Amino acid sequence: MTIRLLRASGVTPAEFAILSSVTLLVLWLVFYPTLWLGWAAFHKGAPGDTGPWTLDNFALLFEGSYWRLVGRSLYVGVGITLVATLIGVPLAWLTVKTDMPCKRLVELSAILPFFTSTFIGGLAWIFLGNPTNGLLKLWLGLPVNVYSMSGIIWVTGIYMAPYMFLFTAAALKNMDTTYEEASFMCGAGLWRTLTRVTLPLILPALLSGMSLVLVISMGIFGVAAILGFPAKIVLLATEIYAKSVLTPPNYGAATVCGLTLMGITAGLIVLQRWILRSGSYALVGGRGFRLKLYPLGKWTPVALAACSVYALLAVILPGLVLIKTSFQSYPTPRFSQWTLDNWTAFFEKADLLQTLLRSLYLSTFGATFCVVLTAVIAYIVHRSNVPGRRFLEQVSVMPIGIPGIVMGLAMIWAYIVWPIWGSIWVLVIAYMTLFMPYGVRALGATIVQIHPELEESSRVHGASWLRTFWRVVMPLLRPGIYSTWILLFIIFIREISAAVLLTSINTRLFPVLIFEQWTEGYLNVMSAGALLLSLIMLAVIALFKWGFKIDLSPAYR
Amino acid sequence: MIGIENLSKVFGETHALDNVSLQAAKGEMLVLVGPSGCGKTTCLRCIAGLERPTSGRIRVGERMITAIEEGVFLPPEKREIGMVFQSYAVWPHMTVFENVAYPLRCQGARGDALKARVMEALKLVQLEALAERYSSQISGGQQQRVALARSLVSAPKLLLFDEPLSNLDANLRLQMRIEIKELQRKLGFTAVYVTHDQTEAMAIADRIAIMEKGVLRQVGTPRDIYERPANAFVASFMGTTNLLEGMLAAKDTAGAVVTTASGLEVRVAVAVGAAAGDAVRVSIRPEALQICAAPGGVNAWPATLRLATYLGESILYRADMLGHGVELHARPSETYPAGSAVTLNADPADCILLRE
Repeated sequence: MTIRLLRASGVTPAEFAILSSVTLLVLWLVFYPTLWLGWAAFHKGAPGDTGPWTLDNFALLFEGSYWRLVGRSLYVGVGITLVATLIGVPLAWLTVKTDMPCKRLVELSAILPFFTSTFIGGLAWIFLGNPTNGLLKLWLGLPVNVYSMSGIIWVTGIYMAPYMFLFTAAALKNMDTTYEEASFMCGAGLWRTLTRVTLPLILPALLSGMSLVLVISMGIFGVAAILGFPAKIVLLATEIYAKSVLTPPNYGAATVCGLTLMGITAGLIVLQRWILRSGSYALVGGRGFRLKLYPLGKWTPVALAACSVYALLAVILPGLVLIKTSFQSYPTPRFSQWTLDNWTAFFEKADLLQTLLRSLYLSTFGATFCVVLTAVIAYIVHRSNVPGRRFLEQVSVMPIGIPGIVMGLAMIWAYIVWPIWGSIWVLVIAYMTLFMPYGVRALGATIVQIHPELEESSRVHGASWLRTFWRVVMPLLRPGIYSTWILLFIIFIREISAAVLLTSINTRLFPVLIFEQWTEGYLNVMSAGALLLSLIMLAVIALFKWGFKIDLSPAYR
Repeated sequence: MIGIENLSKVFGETHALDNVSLQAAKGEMLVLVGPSGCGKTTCLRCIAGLERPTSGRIRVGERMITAIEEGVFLPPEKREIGMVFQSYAVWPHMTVFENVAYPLRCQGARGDALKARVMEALKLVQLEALAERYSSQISGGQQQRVALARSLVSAPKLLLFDEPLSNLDANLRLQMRIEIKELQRKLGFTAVYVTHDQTEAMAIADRIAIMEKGVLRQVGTPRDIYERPANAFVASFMGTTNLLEGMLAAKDTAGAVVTTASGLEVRVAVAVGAAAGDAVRVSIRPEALQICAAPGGVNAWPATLRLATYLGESILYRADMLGHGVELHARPSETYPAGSAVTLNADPADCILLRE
């Protein structure tokens, strides 16, 4: 049966071996840890030392405080999504559709936070917005308090806005301009055209972006911890951490929290697919006329001011305050107490330097493995006609619904008895699984742009499937591969949610080190660390963009 | 009805429109035609207000909608012009009814009056039955009709068509061509219609304006344009033609004689504005050249038939006439083997003198 199906689709045994091993690997990566998590929920005891079957762990579900925790997490997630949407969508419209000047700068300020991280942004905002000696309070007298629910929502929201910006900008660029022109010709003004034509048309993209932001926000750990813990605000993600790390650990309860969180995020993704199932109309492009830019006229200064405020809050102020603090011996609004100690610490202390190198090592190899794996997956999904390729795609993008911290917890259960436990490889596996969807999506988008006849011509002229992949597909994919690699490298090096439960002293990663500096109160060393991490990411991007002349846009489009 | 004066549009270095002036009378169908990149679409988009010209004025009725020098430039939504787009631009998130109702809603129409007018417009294009469908549920031809109904529903005085039929298959194209023409007769709107298809232009136009590289090359009725092209570009763009280069040898009361470099003498009936000694060209349509039995007489040239292509209603011969390659249509019964020596003949009235 299978053999006949394969014959029919023209797959040779060698190809079948590759296809099946990739499929098995993906199934393993996604289901092995998550099934362990499900199993653990019904057992007593700690990972590696589990006791008999029990339902005790679910006692949590009957406590009112637990559901308040769930409600709080949802509230924060929705809040973050709204903030990100309200910032990202107008910014995207202004840059894509209007004649606003300085567009490249605005675009840069909207993309930079995407390439740094919410965690680093959150760290900077501690200095800007803490209620005792935050700069916004001391300098401007603003009653800001980032140690609050609204603080978490605001800070995370401004750093999630780039996602909405990118989704919206891509949708606006792809939309046939004549839809809007037709509206103008019908006598509709700008407002009516925006609300009746433009927004409804990009709504599917908008909803996709919003659900992605919501899913990411629900699972966010770094910001939720550093802004939530001081005010004793606990969310699902931080509760999982608290339950597993603080003494005595309660892995059973952490597991139930993890399953709840994963249930919510997975549910959101299913909901999004369901909502979009009928509304997904292909936006048929007309002839590629130049995008008509809407003249802002007297509103230009207003638009520019709004963009500058965003750049100020998301990039400039946080950057400056981190620089300032990293050169001071303790957090102070004054311009004194200058020192280099925070910086030299990273290069003089062997374990700090080693942590940095380990992070670079993991990100380099992890990103490479992940690109190879996802390139093969994307190729199988979009270019082969083997049965089951849709299933492979579905499984490979599933981790989008697994929050990092839940993955960390699941990895503990799944791999604690394995010999690789305690090595960096556990983290590589966790990261590859978590971020596989990004690679599959980015490379898939590149592959569908390669005309199938280019490959067919290679096959017709005598090359095998493998040779075609290697000699024709790979070279054409190269720009997509490079930009995906950078995206994954950046994501890997800054990731903290999955790492925070999985690191021991031998596998400590740089973001976790920064987090530890925060825990122990070394805020100035932490600033230097956060800056160092940002500088590394910017340097990698700059190296690839200007050094190797690589277009980074395929990765985030 | 519509008047365009000295319209220019410069994109960087290129002149997309170079000082174009055009008029169309009330109820007239003016077709802008030309090869791609000739500026016809830019011209249409300037009328619509979707493109801002570099200079010039556009007037619709008594209303000045664009006068760059005076600082007048109405936004598209204030121009009260209907437009049918090449991609139809039927909004996929609205039903057919809502698409057509949109212009009326913009004017504040509500309730039964709105419904009646929308249904009336849908009836004009025979789409009443599909009012509740979405664009993904109807065919390309039907989308085209929705776009047409939408542009008609608010009864604009002026309608713009931007290559509306180019995405339809050949049969549907012929049918829609007739329907648009009939609707125009019935409703009496003025229309500016852009196409790159010269047959479509001939079939639908009251008058044709031919453009090349941003410049208007000739304006006239289809018959004028085809039978009396003003220049070689128009002659060869509108249909096929044989162009013979030569010099005006002599003028007389019966017209003039043109001599080509290889010594071919062509008598033309009309030679207004040209003087002896001018470098000129003569356009002879393939159907104007005939194979005749005996040599001798006016415009009778010896030729060798090279290649015959049987087309059904005629035979297309390629022939060599004193070094000039020409094409001619002959009746299907006039079969000659390749290499036959014949005499070709054309009426001086069908030999058009071109001065450029």
